Amino acid sequence: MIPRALTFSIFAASLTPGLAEEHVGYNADVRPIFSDKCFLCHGPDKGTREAGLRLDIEEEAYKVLAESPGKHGIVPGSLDKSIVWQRISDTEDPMPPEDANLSLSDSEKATITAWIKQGAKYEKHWAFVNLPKSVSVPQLKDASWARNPIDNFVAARLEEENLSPSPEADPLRWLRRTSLAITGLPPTLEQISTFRKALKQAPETAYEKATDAFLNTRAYAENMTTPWLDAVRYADTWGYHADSNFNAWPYRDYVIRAFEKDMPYKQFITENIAGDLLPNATRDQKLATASNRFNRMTNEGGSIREEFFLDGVADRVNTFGTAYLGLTMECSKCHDHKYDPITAKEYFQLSGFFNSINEDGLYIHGNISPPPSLLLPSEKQESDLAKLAQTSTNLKTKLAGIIDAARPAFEQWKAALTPNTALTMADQSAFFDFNKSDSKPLESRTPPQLTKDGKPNPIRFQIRTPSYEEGPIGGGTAISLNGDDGATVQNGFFSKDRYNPFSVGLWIKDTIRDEDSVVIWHRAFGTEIGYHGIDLRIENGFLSGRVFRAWPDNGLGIKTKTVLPQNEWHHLTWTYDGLSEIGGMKFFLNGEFIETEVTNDKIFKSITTPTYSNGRHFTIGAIFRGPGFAGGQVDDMAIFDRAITPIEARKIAGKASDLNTASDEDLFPYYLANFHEEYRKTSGEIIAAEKAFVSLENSFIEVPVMEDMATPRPARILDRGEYNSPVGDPLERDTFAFMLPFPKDAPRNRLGLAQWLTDPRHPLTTRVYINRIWQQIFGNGLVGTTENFGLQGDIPTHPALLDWLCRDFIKQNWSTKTLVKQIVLSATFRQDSALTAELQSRDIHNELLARGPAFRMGAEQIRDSALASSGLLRESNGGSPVHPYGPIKAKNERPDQVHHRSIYSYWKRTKPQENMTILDKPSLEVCSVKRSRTNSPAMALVLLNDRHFIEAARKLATDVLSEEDGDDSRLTKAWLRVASREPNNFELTTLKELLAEQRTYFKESPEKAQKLLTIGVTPQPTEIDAIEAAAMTTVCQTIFNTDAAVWTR
Amino acid sequence: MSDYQHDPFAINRRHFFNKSTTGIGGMALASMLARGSENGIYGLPTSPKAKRVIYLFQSGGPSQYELFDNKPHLRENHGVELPKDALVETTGMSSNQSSLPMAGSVCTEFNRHGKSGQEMSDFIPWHHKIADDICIMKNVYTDAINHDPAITFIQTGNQIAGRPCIGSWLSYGLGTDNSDLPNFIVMVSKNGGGQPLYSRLWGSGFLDSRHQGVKFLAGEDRVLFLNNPEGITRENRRTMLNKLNALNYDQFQRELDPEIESRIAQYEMSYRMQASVPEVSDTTNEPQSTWDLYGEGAKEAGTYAANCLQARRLAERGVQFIQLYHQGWDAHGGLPGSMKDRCKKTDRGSAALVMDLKQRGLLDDTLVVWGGEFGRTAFSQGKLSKTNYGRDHHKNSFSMWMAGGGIKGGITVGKTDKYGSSIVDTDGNPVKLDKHHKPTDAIHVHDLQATMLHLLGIDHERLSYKFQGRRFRLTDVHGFKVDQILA
Repeated sequence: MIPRALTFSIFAASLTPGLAEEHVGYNADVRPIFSDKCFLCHGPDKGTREAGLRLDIEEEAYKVLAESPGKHGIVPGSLDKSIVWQRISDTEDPMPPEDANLSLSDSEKATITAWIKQGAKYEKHWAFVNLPKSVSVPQLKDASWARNPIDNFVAARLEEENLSPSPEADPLRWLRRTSLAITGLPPTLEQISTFRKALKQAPETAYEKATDAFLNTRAYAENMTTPWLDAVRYADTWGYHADSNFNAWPYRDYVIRAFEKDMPYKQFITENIAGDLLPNATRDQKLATASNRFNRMTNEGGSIREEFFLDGVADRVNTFGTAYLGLTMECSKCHDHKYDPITAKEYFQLSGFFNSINEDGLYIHGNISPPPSLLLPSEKQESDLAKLAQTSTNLKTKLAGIIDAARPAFEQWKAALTPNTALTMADQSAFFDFNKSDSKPLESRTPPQLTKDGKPNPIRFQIRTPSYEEGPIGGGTAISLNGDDGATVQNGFFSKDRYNPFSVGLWIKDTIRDEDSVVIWHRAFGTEIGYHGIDLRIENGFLSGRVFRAWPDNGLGIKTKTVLPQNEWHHLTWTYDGLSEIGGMKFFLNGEFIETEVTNDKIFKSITTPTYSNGRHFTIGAIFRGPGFAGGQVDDMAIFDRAITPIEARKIAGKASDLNTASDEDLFPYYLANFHEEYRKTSGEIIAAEKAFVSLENSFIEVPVMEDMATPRPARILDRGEYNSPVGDPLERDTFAFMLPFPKDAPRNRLGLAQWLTDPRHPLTTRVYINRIWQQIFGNGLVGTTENFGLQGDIPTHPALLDWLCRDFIKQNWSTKTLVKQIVLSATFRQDSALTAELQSRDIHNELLARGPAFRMGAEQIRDSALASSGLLRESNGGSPVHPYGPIKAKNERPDQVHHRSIYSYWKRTKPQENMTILDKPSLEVCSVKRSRTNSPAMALVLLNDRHFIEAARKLATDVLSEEDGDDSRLTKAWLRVASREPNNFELTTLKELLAEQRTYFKESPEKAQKLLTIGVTPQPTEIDAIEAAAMTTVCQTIFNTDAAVWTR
Repeated sequence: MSDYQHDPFAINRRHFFNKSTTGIGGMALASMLARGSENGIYGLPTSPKAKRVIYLFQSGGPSQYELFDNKPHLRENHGVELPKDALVETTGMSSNQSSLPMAGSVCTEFNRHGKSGQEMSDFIPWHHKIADDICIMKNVYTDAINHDPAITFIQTGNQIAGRPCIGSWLSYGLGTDNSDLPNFIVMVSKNGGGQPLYSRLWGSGFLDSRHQGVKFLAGEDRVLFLNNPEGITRENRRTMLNKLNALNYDQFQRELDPEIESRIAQYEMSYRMQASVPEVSDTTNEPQSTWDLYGEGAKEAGTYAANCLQARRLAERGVQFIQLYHQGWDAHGGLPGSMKDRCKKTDRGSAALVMDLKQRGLLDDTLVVWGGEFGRTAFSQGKLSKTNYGRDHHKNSFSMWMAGGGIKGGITVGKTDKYGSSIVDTDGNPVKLDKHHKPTDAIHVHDLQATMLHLLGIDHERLSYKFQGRRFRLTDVHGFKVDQILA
């Protein structure tokens, strides 16, 4: 913070008794000291409060100290009676104590002293006070400078400080500055000449016209999107460990669309937070909620899902805090906040808004979106899918007709039954009796298929050490399992997707009952991380069958309602008709259908994506790194490639299934499934149609989004923030007690939260956003600590201006374009940015705004500007991220990928692009609302040697050589394209000298010219002299490295 | 036009001392110019024992059982079920295993070495030669049990991303004496495989990007973007920079912005780096004695041994933090074979480095640290045979060593129980692993970090950076220096 004039005067006053003291304000002067030096032990966190003294609340500070009867922390107006004053002035035993590693400076002590003397008047923290209904614009002594109300506020402060604004910047300087601020790119030559013409014709409207033109570009939206993506920690990968890809880009395109059409910020953030909960939510509104899913996730083996799930929720809360509220929420996760009045309880109450989607906390391998997610088919894909669905529906209708017409044939078939007719079953693909007495107890008794060369290829289980126990039906044995070693069939047996019907019948006995979910059999690409495939489990005595793409919200699952008696043999049949609906999935226990509960009933895409090499074979008794069927026994396992009928389920369970005594209700489906050719053929056609449907659906882009569960998950306080230490009762979802209350009639969900956030009185929402926009345009926010509006944050340099901008923004229907336009057209922004000796000593950070902005451009702006001014920039409509040049030349570089704006570049969190991170782009693992701007040797090396910039220089050189004649005009044009102004005499002379030197150099070694000219994918035109091209390339490179190229001024 | 001649720091310096209340090296211009709250170290570094650190990071979690922590009980009971009460937290990878047999280090033997009689396995014969120089810590423990959080924790003091790593903290806290080389350099053994490494491990987190580690790669592109483009010689680059500086200085005269002068200085430093990095990388002039020490393998760029030699050359030139990574210690299965291989690749390099530093008098003020992110389990993960087994991750006890600057060599600190899975005190009683208490018998990762900073003359409680309104430290609000390992 710049020391305010009055702080100096207080200091002076304390040294010079007798001088009148200036007024000391709590918010402006005292609170920053208290917060930084005292609140750690005398602030909001009761857990660490010392001596019972709390200094952040007026009544607490004034009251009698419980531990020191008769004494008060602060007695307004009385230094002697105020313990606080006594202790800060005590040289023997000072406050803060020595071991706190904090101390008060003399001027800080003087400030506190003056404040107590003046009555120790507290004020509410400025940022927690509701936005005023209106803000009056200051009147100026000299109104001639101001162009819009922004300038009145700025000029009023300058008048106070006895400073004058800087002269107006050269029009081209303003044009470049504005172009960079709005589009992130320098103005094109056309834009420059249009502006120049307009200036001559109608100077007053030229500025506005140019501004409008910049605002009406896609480049504007792209430029505005970058900082937003920083804030929501947008990236193309999950961020932990193996760091797999994540389909995030549709969200990026959504944000670009939103800025492009100037979506009101109110609507934009409502969609981001709660788009899915809006009535009749559109696809874009649901997509917007993806911003809550950019929390890092892991698929590392051995990870504990509850831990990572809660970390993910915490990251959502922290991001919400920083990006929307400018609050440091994470400080109140483990204990009450040390500085701000946020309790740990309130932290977890807020987390309740973000913890209730049906998710696992971990993601699985294989680029499978962790649920819940949104499918984003193109229009064509959508209509194609509808056609395929229709095909399937038509076939199902056809099948219904076949069934209706099959009665006469059925009667005929029935009439032909004799007492000797046995119940046979078609479509059996395997049967294992596990009889130890047989020479091959692990081989299927069904006739083997033949290999290509005609040899029998039996289906056979393999297990490390086979073990057998007595089976359920007299005579045979059953296989016995230890939970670690599974019995496995290789070669893709039971390779079923969700469109394949199946039935599996088997006898099971569990001798050990486990709390964990135990796998009886599966065919899955699963580890203990996530789940993908088909399995049958026993969960503490309940049977559970799953056909899943991604646990827990993309799949079909049923579970028995009653516990299976332990240590007994049970026959179980699980049937599934392949139609992707829960009604087609059934359990039969001991031959009879049993009621089940639905564990999930929503499935899309395929369930056979290779995810992890282990565990993909059909296996009984074990699953890779998961809980197997220890102490389990399995016998007489029968597998069918269709959903078998009830009478068949009885048959394989050894129950009465005599065809002659069976009812028509049993016989008719049995007949159809086994003997009616047309029925069987059409059933096969339905499988094919469903397969086509799934295959197409599988190609759809899928994005993880928010979608609340019907019953919210309870949120509890976690002791010290540890995932395994929940304490107390479930908490009601709520916002903070210290500011604007949660709206009375709003739903207690994210939609209600968005209503709270977008209340026009909200003290933080607009202040935080507008401050970031100001930071983007001026380099610094009106509040320097963009990331923290709490008590440890800076106070605004121009508080009334910030509030006025907020009110005006709301009045202008939350329009970002209007806001930006107003700022860039202000006299404040139009000032020259050069420093003077006076400003250098008084206000190097430009907090008083006595000059225009000057700061190093952002990483994306630097790279994109080089692409733009060289003419290499490739327009993009979004889509999958592209791969720009890496730091080291790679074989698979694609010419169509390296010249897009940086916002479209692939971003891997654990290995971000080195050139961008050197230029201070954050890793995007966590929320970031303010970047540092460094000035390092590494940055110099990037601009000098990164192929992006060399190629750009080469292209610019080629252009000016072919478009212009003579060194002067060539160099002038090159400079103009990069720096958006003509070079001055010195610059032109210097460039000419350099060009001459380079010519000499390349003439002496033409092979070096050739080498330089082959850098980058852009072909070098052969008609241009190589020596000239190489020499001009070095000159252009030099231009790209000048201050004029990488600084906005 | 004459070449640009100017003291680039004239204005900066004035500005620096006007604004700065703490005035310490690491906080160079850019962060001072950045608006926001004041940051810094409260108190200057005092009497450092070490001037630099070489951190030999063994990624994946090397097994303590086959290196430093000899457990006859496990060997005698190889294959016998681990008693339930000896079992501490396991990962999801083995928590479902129905049997957890004890795995003895049956593939190697332990003996005592050096005058000090330090106990080590025969997997690391070269380490035997430095027994009297190193301090073995058998009682290190950590908070995290999965690779990513654990390695992030030990390198940045926090499991969550976004915090600066140790090297960045030191760069920020101490600044640099060397104007020709980066002060924080990272080298990863080539063909590492195994668990991935992440940029954040040498990232500067919320500190600005000048404090991030510079990766030295094997091969021609030693440092990314360091080499001039093909066709551009060093002399040609000089002429170009002269003109560039002139153009920038011309701009400076109009704008009076000290950032421009700073930038001119950064270009000059980058130019010097272009010479100093190849110089430090070029080992052709090393005498035969060097190769006798490190082995011929050190001639192959990018090997662990070559990186160890490189570390010594960087240390000689005053580079402050040199971080090596060697991957592949994650032996979930087939441990005897993989441990033997990893030891073979790293044993000699680590030991040669210590010996080399010693003979050059550099060991006295260079702190060498060896270790991974966690240890491994006493039981076998997966199937155990007479000669083969695997081990899962284990966070409650593992072994590391340190040597050099301020460390007491030739001692072993810490004890574990007969299973090696729990830290015990000198009387054999289990130590409660509570990082809030001062460690006497167990060394938490934060204690290790506090000790490293102490050796560099920094009080870990005083090195802080204010971010989001809070003063952050490498050691969070924990950590005590470990007195018993200090010389």
